[in-house]
Amino acid sequence: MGFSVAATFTIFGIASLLVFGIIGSVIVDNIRELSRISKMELKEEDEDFEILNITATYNGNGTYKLEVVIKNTGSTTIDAEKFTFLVDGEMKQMTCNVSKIYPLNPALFTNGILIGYNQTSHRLKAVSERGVEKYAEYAVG
Amino acid sequence: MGFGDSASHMIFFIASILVAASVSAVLFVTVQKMSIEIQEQGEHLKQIISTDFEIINDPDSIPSASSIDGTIYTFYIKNTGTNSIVFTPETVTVIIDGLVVGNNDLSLTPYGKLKAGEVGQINVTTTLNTGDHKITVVLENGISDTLEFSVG
Repeated sequence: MGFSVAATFTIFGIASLLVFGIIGSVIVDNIRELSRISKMELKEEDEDFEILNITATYNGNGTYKLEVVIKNTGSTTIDAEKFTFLVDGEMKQMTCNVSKIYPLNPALFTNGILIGYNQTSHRLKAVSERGVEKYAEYAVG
Repeated sequence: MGFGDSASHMIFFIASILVAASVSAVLFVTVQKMSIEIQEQGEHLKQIISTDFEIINDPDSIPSASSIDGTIYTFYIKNTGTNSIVFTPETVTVIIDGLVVGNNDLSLTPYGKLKAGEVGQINVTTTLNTGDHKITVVLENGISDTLEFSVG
């Protein structure tokens, strides 16, 4: 009788170890994955930038050259290729002089041919990789 | 008496082992199912947390073009998450002023997937009166973003 109780306890013991092992590993995996994502979310909060200067030079023929200087004021590096610019609401391709904008560094974005006459005003919206948005207005001159 | 005693002990022993083994087996299977469920829930949660996007239009200046069926309004969607977004009219729901836009009036670029950091374009063919409007874009996993904009 005593031996059967011991055997039963042993079987239950091994089974519970297996059970806790399985549940534990799954929960640990999930927590690890979630903490990785949380770190990326925090990184997103660290992204910030400022539009330092805008120069719009009239080319003639109803076009102008737009140069936008952006400074990374956050604490993470921003991918310049993933910056988006909207001029008067329409998305425009801009080339950048660097591929990565490191913290506190400026970057120059250029588009040589945009439609607009001399002395006209335009709205610019810049959006970074993680969705930080800034607006600015400028006049072609 | 001695033989009967040890026989009954043996029967008890075998019976208890069988009961313990079957209970353990049931417990093991149940826990395995639970762990699969937890894993699936975790995957789902991970997908929801890592999916994010924004409608990045200038609300004061929505690009538009005239067409035979109405006006085509262009909305820009930026994938600000870490996962690709499934970007098709079947997986993306567009609601303007509370009304769902039909698939026939939607055109998405690029078709298929929108990678992290990329900007996609949703062209909506509709007629909007001058004034304020609201667009909500909902992804297949329920993540949504809303933009209030004006049409001049």
